[in-house]
Amino acid sequence: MKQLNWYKVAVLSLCGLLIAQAAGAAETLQEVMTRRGLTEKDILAAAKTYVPTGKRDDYIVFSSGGQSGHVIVYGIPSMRLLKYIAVFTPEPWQGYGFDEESKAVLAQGNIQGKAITYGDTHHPALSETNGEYDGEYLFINDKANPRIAVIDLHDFETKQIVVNPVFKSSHGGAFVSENTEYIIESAQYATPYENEYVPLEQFNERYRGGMTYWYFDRAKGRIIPEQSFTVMAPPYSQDLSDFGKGPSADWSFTNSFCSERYVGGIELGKPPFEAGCSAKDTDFLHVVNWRKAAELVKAGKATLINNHHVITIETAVKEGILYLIPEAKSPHGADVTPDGRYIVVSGKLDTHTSVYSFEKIQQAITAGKFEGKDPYGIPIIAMTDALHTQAELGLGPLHTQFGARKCEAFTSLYVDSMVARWDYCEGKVLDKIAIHYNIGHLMTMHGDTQKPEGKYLVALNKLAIDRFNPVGPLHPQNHQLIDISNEKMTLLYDMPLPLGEPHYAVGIRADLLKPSIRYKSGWDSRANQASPYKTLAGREKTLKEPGKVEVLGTVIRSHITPEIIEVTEGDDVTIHLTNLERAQDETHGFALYGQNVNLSLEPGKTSSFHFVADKPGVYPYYCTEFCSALHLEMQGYLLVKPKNYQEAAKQAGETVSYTKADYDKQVEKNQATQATIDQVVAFITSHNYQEFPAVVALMEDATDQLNFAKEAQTKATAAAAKADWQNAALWAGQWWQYQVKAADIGLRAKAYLEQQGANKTK
Amino acid sequence: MKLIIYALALTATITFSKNILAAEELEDEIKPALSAKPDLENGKTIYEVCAGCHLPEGWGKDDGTFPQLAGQHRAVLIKQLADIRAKRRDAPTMYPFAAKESLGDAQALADVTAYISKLLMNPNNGVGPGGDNLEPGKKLYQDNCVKCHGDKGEGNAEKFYPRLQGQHYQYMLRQFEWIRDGKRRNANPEMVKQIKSFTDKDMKAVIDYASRLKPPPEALAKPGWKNPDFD
Repeated sequence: MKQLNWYKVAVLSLCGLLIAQAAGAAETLQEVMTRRGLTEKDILAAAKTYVPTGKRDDYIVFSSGGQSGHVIVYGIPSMRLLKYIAVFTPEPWQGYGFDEESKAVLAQGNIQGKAITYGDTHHPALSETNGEYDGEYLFINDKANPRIAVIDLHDFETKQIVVNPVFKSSHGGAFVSENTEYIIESAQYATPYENEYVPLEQFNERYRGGMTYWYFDRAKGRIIPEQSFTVMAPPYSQDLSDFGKGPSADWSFTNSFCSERYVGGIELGKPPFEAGCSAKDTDFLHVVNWRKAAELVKAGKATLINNHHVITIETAVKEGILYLIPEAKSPHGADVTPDGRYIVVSGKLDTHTSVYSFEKIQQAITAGKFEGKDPYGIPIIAMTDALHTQAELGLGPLHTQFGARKCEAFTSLYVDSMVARWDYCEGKVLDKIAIHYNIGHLMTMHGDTQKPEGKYLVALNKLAIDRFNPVGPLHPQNHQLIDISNEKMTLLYDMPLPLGEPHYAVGIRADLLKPSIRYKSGWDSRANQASPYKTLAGREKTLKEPGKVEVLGTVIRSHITPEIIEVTEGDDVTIHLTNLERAQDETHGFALYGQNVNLSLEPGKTSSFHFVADKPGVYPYYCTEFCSALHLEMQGYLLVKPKNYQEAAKQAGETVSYTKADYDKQVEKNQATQATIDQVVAFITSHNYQEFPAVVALMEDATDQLNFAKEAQTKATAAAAKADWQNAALWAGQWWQYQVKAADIGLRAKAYLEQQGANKTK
Repeated sequence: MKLIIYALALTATITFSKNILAAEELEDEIKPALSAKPDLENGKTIYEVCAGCHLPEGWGKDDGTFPQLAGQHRAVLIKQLADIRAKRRDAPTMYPFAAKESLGDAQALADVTAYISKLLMNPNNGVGPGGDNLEPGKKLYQDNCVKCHGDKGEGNAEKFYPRLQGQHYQYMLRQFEWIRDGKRRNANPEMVKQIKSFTDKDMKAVIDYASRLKPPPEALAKPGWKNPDFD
């Protein structure tokens, strides 16, 4: 009977479990759609973008982080954020700008001696080999303080920043030549090249624009400023650039938007820049033979300005490397087609996008067929002579990217808030899609290269307005993912980017990136070499010399070695830490009370932090990056001893300890002194000193001192008998002090007697 | 009726005892690791992280926080790593490093232990306080330990008895105490029985003696030797 009940209970509980399971069973797809108000179109979009947990994206996007000075990395199609790469701006989680190695990189970007801790990043460019992405390096510019940064895609860290030696404002960068021999950066707001004051009245004569070509050494993974040069251009406010491809590979194209050379002054009653710079119907596309320009520099035909090779407009014209072509009013974007045969330029205040033919441009140049010269003598090729076709795309065409289909182009329409898909060979619009809102750049997969992959397009919209949950007056940007695999474009996903105003982005197939997951043990990641401070387990040491302490330590789960660091107030302290881990994702951190530091120590990395321990006290430090079960116990103490504390202790301890030898020496000295005293006393007593009251008084004094001396001598002798040499020597010293006093008195008495003509009595 | 109950009970046991089964699978790691052909190069690469605590020389710390691994029998190293990652031996600081995801599979065990066992040993391992300990320690050792750990503390690879010679005093003290008191769950049950009656004083004496047993000279490094593999 007992068994039966047991059985019932067992079965019932089992059934209960099953029912419970059923009740918690997932809703069907239909139920979810109804509950969340989703259409079939929505579900399709979700299915096209959702990357299931544990799976990976197909493409990786590197987006500018705008004024944040970072580069933002995300995956397509999920649009999941993967990383922020700190470039021009310190970022503590990555230790960027907080460890000495990265501070050195940031310092490379100092502008005329001033540290600038942000960058107005605009256009990232991936390194290319034979016109295709190779996944090795990423370059990005700063518009506000013209600089180019080099990011190494082996570890996604910024390794170098170079400062433009002649521009004070730049925009058309970074873009790379087919084999990344050069990276182009074109100026924006014209200024004199020299770092000096030039009044605005001399705008036309002295203010200049131009295109800087930065030489990239692939083996070193660094830009070489000494081998870079600039082709000077008129102050037309150059805007965007692109290098040619294939047949046009030796050439670069840069458009401009203020060939009016207008200088505003709304506060002075003049029309503002926006009016003055939009007056003319056309501006100029600059066409530069950069390959020949590089040869000219080698041949010594460049001028040095600010220690930088500059090809003057005069030289450029003379050597036939610079030409101008009119482009529609205030254009934006010069984009070379994948086959390199055409250059697409959109006039942002014109509804047309122009397609120039490189072949036609070459023909005009060869034939010497120009419609005139600009005020600086640069030959102008007539638009009609260079144009292949024009297409009316919509209001405010800006940038163009290319698709995988033949002659397929996509152009952003800012004013219309749309993207147009069109055929650049025929000049025909094929499809249009609305975006939200006011698109700037757009980006297709491998869109910059000779072999665009199509599939996805990202619209980089400037205004989000009402698109997302409200988060206060400063709105995020909106990157919208669009499916371009079919002839009809479909909107898939809105991604708010809440950092910076991301301008441009580049998308690369994920399998082309091969970043490492750790460094060689003891690696300086910024300099790409073994760190001189590399430390192995068991070899940690603290080096001390007066006023300076250097710690060579290590970190591993879950301890920091050393755990106690003792320094003295005022010491110059440097701590180097090497992460001994080899496992993926086992990064350790380091923060120290009272100092502005957070180190990020990835497996293998060695980072350093330097400071002056100017205040005595107790300063805990710890691992800031959760690393293990015992992460909280990964701690240490920095102890800063006060200067005088150390000295006081030293004095007490350092009190000279006396030996028998010291005692004997002192006694010897005392005996010699006694001999002198005896002599003096003998002289005095052998004369009629009692008749001289002064001397009598002196003698009394001397006698007192000698008595004290005797007392000290007794103490000294007693101590010596006990072998207490410390006290024996000290008392012997005191004994001598009294002797000295006595001797002094005696000598004075003697001298007195001699002077007074005392008579010898004995 | 009975059958049904037993069936249900068995199902329950099977469902809830998955852990035990998995552990058994891992115990089967020891055999494949022992028979696999070791790759010393890979072993060195794997060892790099172990060096973080056990030092590049494999000498650990003479205060016993980390044992010396250098020169230990491969079989012993394999068994202990397998036991640690199967949670048959409690070693929280070792868990993340011994885990399959970090260290690797049975081949990795074979590789890294081959590398470690070839390392030269520390000529100056941590020893006990000496003095009055040594006489009684020697007797205790001869009466209790020789039959498994050998006359000179050389251990026995086949039977997974560790080499004691050259091991740090403090480390052996801790392990001995845990074995005696049941905290070291993967201890050989015969040893537990053997040392049950040891007092703390006995323990200190016999371990002090053991810590002074020297490995053969060819297994020892010169004092101050640094492992060139990791420079």
